[in-house]
Amino acid sequence: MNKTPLTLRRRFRTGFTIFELLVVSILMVIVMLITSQFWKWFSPSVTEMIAREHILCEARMAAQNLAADFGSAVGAAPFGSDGLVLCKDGGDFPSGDANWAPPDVLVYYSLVGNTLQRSDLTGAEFTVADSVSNFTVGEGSPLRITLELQCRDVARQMVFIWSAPTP
Amino acid sequence: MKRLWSKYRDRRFFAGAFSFVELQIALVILAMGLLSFAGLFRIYSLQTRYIEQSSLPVSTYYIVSQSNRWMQQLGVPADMEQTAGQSAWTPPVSGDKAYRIRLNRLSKDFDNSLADANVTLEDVNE
Repeated sequence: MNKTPLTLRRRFRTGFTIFELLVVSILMVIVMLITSQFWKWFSPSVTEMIAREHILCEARMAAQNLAADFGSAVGAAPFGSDGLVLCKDGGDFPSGDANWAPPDVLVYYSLVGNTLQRSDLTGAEFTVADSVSNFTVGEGSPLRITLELQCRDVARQMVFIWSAPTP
Repeated sequence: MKRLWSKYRDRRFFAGAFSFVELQIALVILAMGLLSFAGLFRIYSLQTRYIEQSSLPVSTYYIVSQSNRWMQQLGVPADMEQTAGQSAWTPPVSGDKAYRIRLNRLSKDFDNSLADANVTLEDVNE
């Protein structure tokens, strides 16, 4: 008969007291304050890191695509205000000259919004890089391509010059 | 108050619950874990900056197209140099028609400049 009150007393003995809860709450608030202060210091560097990595990735993709197309290019010229057209030697007997007509393959690069698009006469079109703020192709020789990328506050400019092989 | 203190001193009181010290230690470990986790991000950020500086020291690149006819036919990418070439670019392909080249198979990695190709040559002078 006396078992129930004893069990109840023991059950209450296993929990936190109000004093312990108070101390824990204060400690948790201190930890949260420290964490928030730390995050305030740390957050901008994380954002910058993500932006920098994104820019690097996009720049690398653009450079690799240009390199792939320039490998067999025999002619290149500005196309519109912010575009580039490449003439790749084609056919069974490559002439070595830019004929700008089949069997040579023409490849176009153009800035659409803030993406750099690549297309050719087969109709294949895909995005080479995004976060592109500017893409200009200079007139004259040697051909000079300027690619500017921007993501948040991080910006990068890359200049590609079509050059003869070094001896 | 004396009664409350005697309750604290009772060993049975601590038998089934967390103690204040345990909780404090747990919180300290949690805070250290959070700080070390953030420290890892900081190291990662510094490494990324280092990679950026070491991989792209200059922003000007010279695109050098393949001068070898074979390389052109096989679609090998242009070289990216950091020094200027000798002169303005002139297409190097001579246009000599010795062989008809038929590309049977070509496999190459996107990242790698090496390519594996299988071609058939037909002598057009015969």
